[in-house]
Amino acid sequence: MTGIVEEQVTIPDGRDGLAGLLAYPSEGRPRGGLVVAGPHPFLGGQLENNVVQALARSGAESGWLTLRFAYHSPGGDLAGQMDRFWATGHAPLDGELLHDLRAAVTCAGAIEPVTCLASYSFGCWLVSRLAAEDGFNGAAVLVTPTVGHHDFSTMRQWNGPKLVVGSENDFATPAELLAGEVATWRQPVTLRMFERAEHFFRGREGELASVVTRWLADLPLRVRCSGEDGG
Amino acid sequence: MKYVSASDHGILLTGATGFIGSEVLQRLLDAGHSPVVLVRGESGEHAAERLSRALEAVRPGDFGRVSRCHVLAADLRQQLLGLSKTEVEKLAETVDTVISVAACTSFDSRPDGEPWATNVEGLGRLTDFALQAGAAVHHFSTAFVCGDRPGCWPESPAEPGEHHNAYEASKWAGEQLLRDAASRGLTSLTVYRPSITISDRAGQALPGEHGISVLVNSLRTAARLVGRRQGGGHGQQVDLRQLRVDAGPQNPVHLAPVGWVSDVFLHIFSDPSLHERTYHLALSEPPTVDQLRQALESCLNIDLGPYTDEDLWNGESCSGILETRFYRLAHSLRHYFRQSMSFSTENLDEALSGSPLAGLRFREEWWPTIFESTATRPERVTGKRKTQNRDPGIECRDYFERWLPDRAPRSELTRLTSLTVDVGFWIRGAGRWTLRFRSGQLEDVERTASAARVRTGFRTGLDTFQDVVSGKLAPQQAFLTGRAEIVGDVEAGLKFAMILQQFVREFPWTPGGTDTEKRSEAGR
Repeated sequence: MTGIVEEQVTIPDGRDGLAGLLAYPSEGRPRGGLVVAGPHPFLGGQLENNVVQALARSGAESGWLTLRFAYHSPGGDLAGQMDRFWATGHAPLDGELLHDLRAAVTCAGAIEPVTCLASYSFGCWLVSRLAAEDGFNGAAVLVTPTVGHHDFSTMRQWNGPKLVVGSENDFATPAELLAGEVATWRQPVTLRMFERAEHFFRGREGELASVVTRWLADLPLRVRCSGEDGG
Repeated sequence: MKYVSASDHGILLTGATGFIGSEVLQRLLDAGHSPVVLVRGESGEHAAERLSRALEAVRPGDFGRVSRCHVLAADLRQQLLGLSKTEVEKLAETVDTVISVAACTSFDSRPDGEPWATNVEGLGRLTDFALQAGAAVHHFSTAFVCGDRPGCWPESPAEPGEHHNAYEASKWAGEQLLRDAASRGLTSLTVYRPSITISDRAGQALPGEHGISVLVNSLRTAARLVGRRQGGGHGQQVDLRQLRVDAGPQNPVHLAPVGWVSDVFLHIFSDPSLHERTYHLALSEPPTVDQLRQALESCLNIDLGPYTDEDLWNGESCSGILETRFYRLAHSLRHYFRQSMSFSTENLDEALSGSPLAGLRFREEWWPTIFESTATRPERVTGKRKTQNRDPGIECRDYFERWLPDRAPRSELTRLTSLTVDVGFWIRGAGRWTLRFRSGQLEDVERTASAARVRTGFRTGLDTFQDVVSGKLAPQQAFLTGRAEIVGDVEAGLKFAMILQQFVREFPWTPGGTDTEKRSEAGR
């Protein structure tokens, strides 16, 4: 029986490093690298976040090397950051968090070519930006992307396979808004909507993991192995 | 599937030291099986000792049974089930049937990851093993995976309603995980969904966290408190009429004797033609709330109050200390008494057709045994956390009305100039408070008797509240793990949780240590 190995790592980010957790099958070569971008650090974006854990588990149990990470601490004027975030839902550090995701992708990529980015909530916005700006040649899982709060127009051009998971009762991503937005995205896109679920998937983590696992298993081999054959 | 011969080690069983699992194991041994049993323990000897004690409780004096099992010290919560790679490979060669009974019955999501760690993640590892071994799986779930789904809950993987607690949700997630594995090549899957299993034999001990134990012991506590006040002697009727009964008198109480549940399991397990279905192990005519009430009154020597439709279980509409205390202790049971649910038993009826196990009716003479089984572990009856011995109202009042207003002006909160909001806190059994922030200043703290109009608020229990304000648990994590609820504007609630966490970092509170805090301040 293949188990999952978990390993704490420090991700070089040009500062003090980011806390990360690698998970991978105990045997055999991983199918590829998968990095998980969590929600905003002010809204539960920690390694222990239930959805982040579910995504990481799905990846590792499907045979991927997965890396989840904690965004860097705001430091400096924390009260100022929080004040702005309270008022607007955005904080001055938001743009910098893309740097954290890039660092995690680089870190995981040094072990196994990263061929999938999984994300939740605010993390989806970071993934959409990285995919477009860095020309990411892989697949993306976006769980309740914050389409009401952030600009996802880059997904209209980005051509990688996308799994979008929405929830029916979502304060941050109303189901109709999400469906309308996703309809404008470039194919291939798979949209799965969870009935009677809310943004946080509390108690539905198993189902979420199951949906993601199935989608990952069905990914075309060329995507899973793009690191090996040069994409 | 390959049917298991009675003499080999082709069966692997988990949860054998538990309430249902020990009965199941006894039935398997009686039927001549010699299963591999995974038991938590520091060593093989320790695991065998634990199993021996569990079997002794099922049938005292029948020694030597453990030697017929192949006991392995294991833990579903660990990689490779806590076994070595060689052990797993060897097991995979011989095991062709996995019986999954292990479960964590905690209703709350705990900091150690339970009940998810066992009921979902552990089950996932067991499923991986079953897939590797090509083994059939017999899984014990619960009939209450239906959540609050209205109508009759079918014996099929239909969509449930909203789950009432982490236990139900995790058991449902476990079922889903297995059904997913079944679609990916699991040899076969049979699901058993017992209702509330109870003791049907003297000397059996129900776990302290079992719903019936919680109910009966909460009433015993109330009777003891009031009885002492009334000055009655031992055995005298205690007047608990001030304790109203917030439940529908004709609602069913889905009790099922554990002996019958285990017998039914063995009946189905022994006949491969009955496999690959889902069964509700529930009585077709369960007792009603009113029957339970009468039995409680009779067996515990108490008089309970009238039935009421007021929602007392959240502790907010309770009329006195007795009600508040009772409904706080028994809070986790509210949905099981306020809701009329029923379980289809079509598959079960077909499987038991012609069997003496069919059509079992609840018997009034079981009540004393049931209630007795909740008292066999006195430490569970009275063993409460230290915090529960204090008056929760005083603890919370001190925090909201002294500690917080004293420190807020000295904290970073004052720099959040856009923070203008009314935030409510509902601490179960302790009270409600509304905090009014204006431009980052805590202007007012108000203790309210009823729900005040607030933009956002938090509803939680005393233990969680104390964990949060002492810095042991991040407020957002309390919400994400189901230990706290956000009422009203969820986004504002999450943002305020971030702010609260920052305040707690600056000024962590020590539950029960307010005097120490005062002294240390005086010494500065």
